[in-house]
Amino acid sequence: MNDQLSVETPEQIDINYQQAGIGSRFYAALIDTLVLTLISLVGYYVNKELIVELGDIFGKWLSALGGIVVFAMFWGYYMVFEVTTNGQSLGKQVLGLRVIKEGGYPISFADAAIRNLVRIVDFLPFCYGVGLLSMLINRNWRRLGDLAAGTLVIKIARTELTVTRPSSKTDAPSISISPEGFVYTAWIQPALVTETEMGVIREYLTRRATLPVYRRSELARTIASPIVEKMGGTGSIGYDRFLEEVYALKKSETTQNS
Amino acid sequence: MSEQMDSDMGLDLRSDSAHKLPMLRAMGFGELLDTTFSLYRKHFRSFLGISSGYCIALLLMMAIVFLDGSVGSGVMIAIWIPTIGIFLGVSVYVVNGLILASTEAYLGGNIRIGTALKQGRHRFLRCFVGSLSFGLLAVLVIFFLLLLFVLIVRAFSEGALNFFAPLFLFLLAFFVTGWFVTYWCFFAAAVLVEGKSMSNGLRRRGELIEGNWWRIIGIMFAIFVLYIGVGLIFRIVFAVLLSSTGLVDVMGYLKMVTWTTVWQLLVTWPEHSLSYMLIYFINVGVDIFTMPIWVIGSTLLYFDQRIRKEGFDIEMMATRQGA
Repeated sequence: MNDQLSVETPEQIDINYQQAGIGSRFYAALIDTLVLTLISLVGYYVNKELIVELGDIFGKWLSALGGIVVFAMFWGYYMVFEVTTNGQSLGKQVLGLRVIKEGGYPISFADAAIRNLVRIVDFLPFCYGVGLLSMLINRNWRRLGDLAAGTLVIKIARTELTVTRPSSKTDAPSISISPEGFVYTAWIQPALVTETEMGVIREYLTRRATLPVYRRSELARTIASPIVEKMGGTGSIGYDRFLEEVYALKKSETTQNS
Repeated sequence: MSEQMDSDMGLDLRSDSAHKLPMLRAMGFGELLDTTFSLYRKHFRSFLGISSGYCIALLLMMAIVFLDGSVGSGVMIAIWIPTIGIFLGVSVYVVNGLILASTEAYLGGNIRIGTALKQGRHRFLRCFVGSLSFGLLAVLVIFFLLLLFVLIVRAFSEGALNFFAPLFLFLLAFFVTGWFVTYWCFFAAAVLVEGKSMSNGLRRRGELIEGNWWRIIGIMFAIFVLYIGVGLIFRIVFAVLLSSTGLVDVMGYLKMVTWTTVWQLLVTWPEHSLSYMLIYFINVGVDIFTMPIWVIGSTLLYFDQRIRKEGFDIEMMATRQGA
């Protein structure tokens, strides 16, 4: 559903990245800003107390130092985090995001420095106005800092590593009945069941326990009806059980053939 | 059952070969918000086309808010009531169109503005009456809370309660508003997408939200913060640009942020009329631009809930494989 970015490595491995959009980046930035604001408030309070304690001359120096520290913190916070935690500030960690290079490599110190220096421009004129506009226009949701540093923000939670060969499904559903108890074996023809249908049946059998009873029977009927029709089945049918049997028979047939 | 309902609405997914079903699945918090913007950008012109109808409602409201009081209270009421009715009607109609367009976009179809608005009109009455009932109930509850607030402040003019009671009531009112908005969004989606009747729509929104209340209200809150946040950024960006031209003074910043004050300012300082007219149009433009964000977001939340609770994605897969 989201914007995917695919990079193929020389080893013929496709790496599919799910790009982070405005929504998740907005909240990551909000969390980071809250953290920075909190630190700044504590810093301001400590600085203020020290100025009172140390008097006028030292106070002025401290005040200037405080300004430098705040600037360094706002600029350095993202950079330090992105370099030390493999492209993740605190907000990005919470939202499951990561900054990477366009080719899928981790970002370097220089990349982090560039993208965070340009952050000042992205922030203009207020609250990432330029950055927001840039993200809306750019097809990969990149702000100016990303464009300058050649970086991307991706989601790590749903990122898929797909090797270029058919993947095997490991989350097989549990079938509650044994083959001896099958009642529709006489007219089930596994050869007529397509891979797509098997996929739907597998999904249904895996998740049926989480569905309300009325919904279970509705879904079972919707999935089973075209298959029953195709196999010429007649009479009263327990759709849920029928799907279990179709799945088990088709699976055993596939196993035997391979 | 719901497939049949979808068919009733013209959303017959079985026979429409133009639809390419995307991989439907339950979404996490960040993914839902990102998908909102993805869909909006992909169908930008269609969404903007539908939401631009909302400016008619805004102009109507503006016209009556600043109506000359010398016409007499009877005439005022005679003008106010139908105008407010039309304002609400247009707003509901536009939101209906946006919900249906979001549904089409989410299910991989192409949005046709005319079709979305036509379908919105088809279910308009039940959605409008339901929305009106929701709105009236919300206003009554919030009014009651406000009354309670005033009474408490009067009774305890001093002490800690004076601070905590209003805060508590503010949070409560905020919560109640969030509750109503969330329920209304699910009600509208159930009526429009599934073709439910008004009473069934009310029951349906309860079925979908039950057991996931905190998650849903949390995401809904996040969607609205995002919607307001994006709108605010654009408003202030434009305000800064206007300030730099010298048309508007920077000190009037806060006044610029809300468009409702524009005409008051126009009356107060007629010499600034050009700048305030500009601000007014910019604010209406930003409203129209940001409106689809919350509608798409809440529609996606509705579908996400259907996938989690009812296996809507399995139903769609099954419907397609039977085509």
